[in-house]
Amino acid sequence: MAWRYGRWVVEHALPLGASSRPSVGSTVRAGEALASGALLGSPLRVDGARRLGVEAEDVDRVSRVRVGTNVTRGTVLARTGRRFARAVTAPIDGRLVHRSHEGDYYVAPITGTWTVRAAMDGTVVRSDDASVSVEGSAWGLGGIAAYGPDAFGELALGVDAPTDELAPSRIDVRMHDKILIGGARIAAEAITRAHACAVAGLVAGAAPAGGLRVVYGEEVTASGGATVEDRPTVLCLQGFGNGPLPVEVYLPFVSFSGHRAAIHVASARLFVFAPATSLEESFDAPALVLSGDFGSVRPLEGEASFTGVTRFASDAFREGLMTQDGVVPVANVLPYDAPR
Amino acid sequence: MTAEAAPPVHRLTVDVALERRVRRWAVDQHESRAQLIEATLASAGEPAPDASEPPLRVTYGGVLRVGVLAGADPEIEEVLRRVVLASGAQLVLALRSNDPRSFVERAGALREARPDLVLALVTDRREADGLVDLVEALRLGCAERSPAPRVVVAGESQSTLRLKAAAAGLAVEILPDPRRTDGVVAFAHRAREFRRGTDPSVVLRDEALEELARLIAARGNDALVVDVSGGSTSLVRASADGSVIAAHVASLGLGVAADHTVGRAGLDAVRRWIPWAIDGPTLLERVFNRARWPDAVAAEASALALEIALAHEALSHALADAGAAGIAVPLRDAPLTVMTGAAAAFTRAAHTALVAIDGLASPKPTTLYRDADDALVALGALASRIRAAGGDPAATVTDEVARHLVPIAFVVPVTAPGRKSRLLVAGREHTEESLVSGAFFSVAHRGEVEVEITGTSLKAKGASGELGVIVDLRGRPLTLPPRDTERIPTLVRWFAALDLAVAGAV
Repeated sequence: MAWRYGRWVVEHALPLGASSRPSVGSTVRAGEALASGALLGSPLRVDGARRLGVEAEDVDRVSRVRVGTNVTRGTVLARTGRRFARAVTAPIDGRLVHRSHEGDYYVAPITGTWTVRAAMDGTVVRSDDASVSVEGSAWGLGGIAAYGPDAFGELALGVDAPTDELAPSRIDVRMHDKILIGGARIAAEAITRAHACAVAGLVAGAAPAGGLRVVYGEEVTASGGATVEDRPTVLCLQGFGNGPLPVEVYLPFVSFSGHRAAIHVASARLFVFAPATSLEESFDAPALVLSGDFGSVRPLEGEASFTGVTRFASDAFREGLMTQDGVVPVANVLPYDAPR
Repeated sequence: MTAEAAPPVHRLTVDVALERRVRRWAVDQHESRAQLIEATLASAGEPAPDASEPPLRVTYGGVLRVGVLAGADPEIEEVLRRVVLASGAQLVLALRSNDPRSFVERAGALREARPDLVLALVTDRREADGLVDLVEALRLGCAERSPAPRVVVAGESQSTLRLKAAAAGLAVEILPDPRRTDGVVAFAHRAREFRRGTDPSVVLRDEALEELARLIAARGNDALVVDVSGGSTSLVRASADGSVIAAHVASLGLGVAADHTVGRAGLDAVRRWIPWAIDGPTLLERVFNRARWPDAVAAEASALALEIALAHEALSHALADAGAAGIAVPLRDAPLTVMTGAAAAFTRAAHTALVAIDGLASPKPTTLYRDADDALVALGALASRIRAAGGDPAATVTDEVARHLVPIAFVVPVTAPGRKSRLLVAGREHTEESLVSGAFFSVAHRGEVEVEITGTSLKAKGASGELGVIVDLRGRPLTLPPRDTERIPTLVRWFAALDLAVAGAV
């Protein structure tokens, strides 16, 4: 089943330098700031144990400032003694980012800030300096790859039929902050135009791999990847090139239009925050078929029957499946939500 | 007269993992001799119907992301690469002590790289301070991660203790210096334990390939096993004395790693092996779809050509990696070459031969074999399991390896023959083709054969098969014309030399 209402745990990786993050058990809403922190410049290393005249393992005992705290120039980081005191102070304004095992301090200037937003309505189930996980209930639809930062917004249809390509002319500034549904294909022109119009994200059956390279750079892979920079967000549901959506996947988009949604890039998943009862019937998506030249992915439609071992144009002898578009290798037919 | 009871037959199952499915070999063991019976394709995890015990599973293992911390000495580069190639791990980040990035940037890079295992190599006491800084950056970047990466420290003994202390809070172990062979072996062993996990029925594919190479080499000639699979590429050379040189590259392949192969080689490098014109965006779409469709079958000629092109590049880049580790030369000149994996499973043997000949560009004659149905890999896995249990696998699998080792061609690269040179195949002169620079042709012959080119020092013995003796005067390194108008006819000629028709697919 492609669309599924259920409980999901969504993990948000954090960059270095987190200064605020929610505690376990707090409630968050998709799109809200989940954690924030500082972008750090080149740190200065300050002698600790040696200057204080203590063993490295005793530095903890005499430290006055916890690692992760913002400091100003002259802040006493550690101090020993009473009458003949020895102290270590911060040489610059910034943050105490680290204490080495040899008892030295690293103080880095703050050059900017970052914010990570939640991609799920729910409760924080794990929170540390490396990641925050949120568990919540939503309608979820898995894709095969997503690109860009996580996106949040109202769901809106950008096409009239599941086989249509999202035309750049359909995108304008009225769609800002929305997540647009793009049908079978979204080309690079549509992606860049949507980004210029402040569209939050795009979802489609497929996107051209060459177009993704144009937008995200030569290093882009078929697995996608999250970025923190300001880039467009694209979720490919089925494959690359052209991927007409099955009606069973497209119709719920029509029902969900206007609801809040989020694209979680790391898991390549779309979440729609609509009531569990939003869909009156269950939609079992058909299997997907990879074309013989690997150029496209389409839904398996109509009757299908096994043909036994079949010789294909490439000289390969494999089990075949007769479809309305001809015989395809059985291995090139997978359930919609098969792990890929 | 009484009939003697037949010795009991023990039925085993060996599952050789493909991408999503497995090739399941039923194996009978009579009096400690193994015999492969039949192979079927099955879903991974599907129970074997008539086996008395769980199948022996040959898998790629888990992905092991390795980060390396090392000093500034450029000579250490080869050692680091050799260690990573031997372990089958994926190198995600190499940080040197002279890295120009700041402490925080190094820590950020380590956090983004998400290594499972970090190798900290210190070769000189004077480098220890720099390495300690790198380990501190590792702590800042990764100590909060769950699970945190494990740290392996190796090298100069006093300094390793300092590094171990600096990595407080992380799981640390000290291994032998990888500049020595035992250090490489120890790290590879540790990495394989990590990739294998706790499943006792798993044999890693790279272990099976190394064992297979040993078994073949034990027959008297050095052997090279070349494995180009969907998600990895391996080159293993074994000598008759049992020593092995191996390069296992985790992210190069013609299937699920197709996008990484293109990322590494470049789209044009892959496209140049396709014998017709095709535009880059179309090709990239196919590559991406193949990468996200495990065990996809190339039903059309264009998809097959793409897989062949990917196999070429995966092999030549794995060889380039081996070159950077200083082990490429022995991997190119073995007298026996055995192709395994997806590149050996093309319907036509000639496609496999083209990948082997062009990808390896071996300068010396070699007898080429292929393992089209993973039988040899299954036998290598059985042998690996026997050796791991302390036994000698030779008695159990040697005969069966010999039965499945059927040559497909004897490949003879020729450089600069004289104008009057003649080609003698099994003592008979071959005059149909001219010995001119750029020529590439095959001479029909089966079985043991001696090839000689008069006026040169070339006199080679080998075995040929269905593709006969392949004579290659194209020179090394192999170059293809950049323009389609010259490139396509050249490729078509090479294909035709091995009796392969080129369909005009796009």
